Amino acid sequence: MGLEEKGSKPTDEDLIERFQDGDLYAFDLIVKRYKNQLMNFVYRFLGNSEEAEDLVQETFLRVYRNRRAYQKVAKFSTWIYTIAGNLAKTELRKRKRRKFFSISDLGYNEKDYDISDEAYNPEKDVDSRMKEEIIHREINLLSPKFRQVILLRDVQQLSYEEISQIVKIPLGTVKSRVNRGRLKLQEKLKILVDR
Amino acid sequence: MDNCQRFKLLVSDYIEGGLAQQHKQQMEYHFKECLKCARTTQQLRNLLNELKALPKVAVSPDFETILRARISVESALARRRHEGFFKSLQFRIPAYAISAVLIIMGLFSVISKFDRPTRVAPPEAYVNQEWYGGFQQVDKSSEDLVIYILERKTVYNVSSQSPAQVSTFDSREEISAGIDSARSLQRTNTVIDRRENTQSPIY
Repeated sequence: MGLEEKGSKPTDEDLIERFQDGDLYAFDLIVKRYKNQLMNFVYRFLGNSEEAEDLVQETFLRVYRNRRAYQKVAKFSTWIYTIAGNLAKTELRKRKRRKFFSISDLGYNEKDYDISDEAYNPEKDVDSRMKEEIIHREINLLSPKFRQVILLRDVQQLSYEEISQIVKIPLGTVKSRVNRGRLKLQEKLKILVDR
Repeated sequence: MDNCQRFKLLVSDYIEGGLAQQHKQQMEYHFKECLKCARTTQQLRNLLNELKALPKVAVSPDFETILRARISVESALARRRHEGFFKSLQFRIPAYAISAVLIIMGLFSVISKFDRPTRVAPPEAYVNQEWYGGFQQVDKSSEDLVIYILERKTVYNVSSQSPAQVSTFDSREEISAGIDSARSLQRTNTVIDRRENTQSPIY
């Protein structure tokens, strides 16, 4: 029986340590804990839910494969976000090489957009859905370096310190990059967010 | 740097409450004179709320099933690779060992044809506690001249079981000279020995 079933919630670091000791149930708990967080991040990064899900699968496979590489000096969340972020950036580079461009990648296609049950509201008005899609598109039009920090800070709500560890740049650079990214988005979306 | 530029650098800190009181007051004072910056600040606040409220995207319901299947496949492949490696070694190791032995034997036979004397026991008459085995070299210039080089660095030359003369030397040069002398004189019953108290090996 896992600790969660007894009532006390193990930390991520406890879980990965247990997994390193061979406890596969701990790995299942990690997957449950992070699958949607990572999906949300990667989907917003790539703009395509199918690719995003594949990439989140790959992230967990790498955690499984390289569990011994994790050292407790770093937070587990920063480690797993680093893996997912690196995979997402590699995917973007591959896309660039293929010169592949599709309007569906910008988030206009509803098929690419699965919203979780609790968030989905059939009565949501069309304006609101359109607004979300426009924001999603504008995020995707940011350059990857701004997109990554904006998603981590303003969508995933991570701290600047965590982002600094994930992106491996100094704290001051993260703050200034987030600030510049926000101003770029604000400039593009000023009509939408002016009220 | 004008105040609007300065505002742009600090606006996120201002919104997130990360500015010192003095800087915060300066920003608010600036908003009173610059409506554009004040408006940008409000737009940024709204933007952050919109970003935070973006619908959460979830993985498909069979995500974990697919992941488990992928892990199982990968583990099975890794096991097969691992077993395959050892299986291939089972065939490779004897082949490598046999090749190595053959090469060593070949080298040994080639070398032994040249310098390396055949290892034999010395004549029984000379075997004692100090002379307990050695090498034999047959001098081609004289079939009678057989040189034994003992393990204890003792050299003697004998062609019969009972030597007529024993000479003792200190160095390789002296031993060589002794052997040459034996050859030139065709002495068949000669033992060439090294002085027993010599510490350093001669050969």
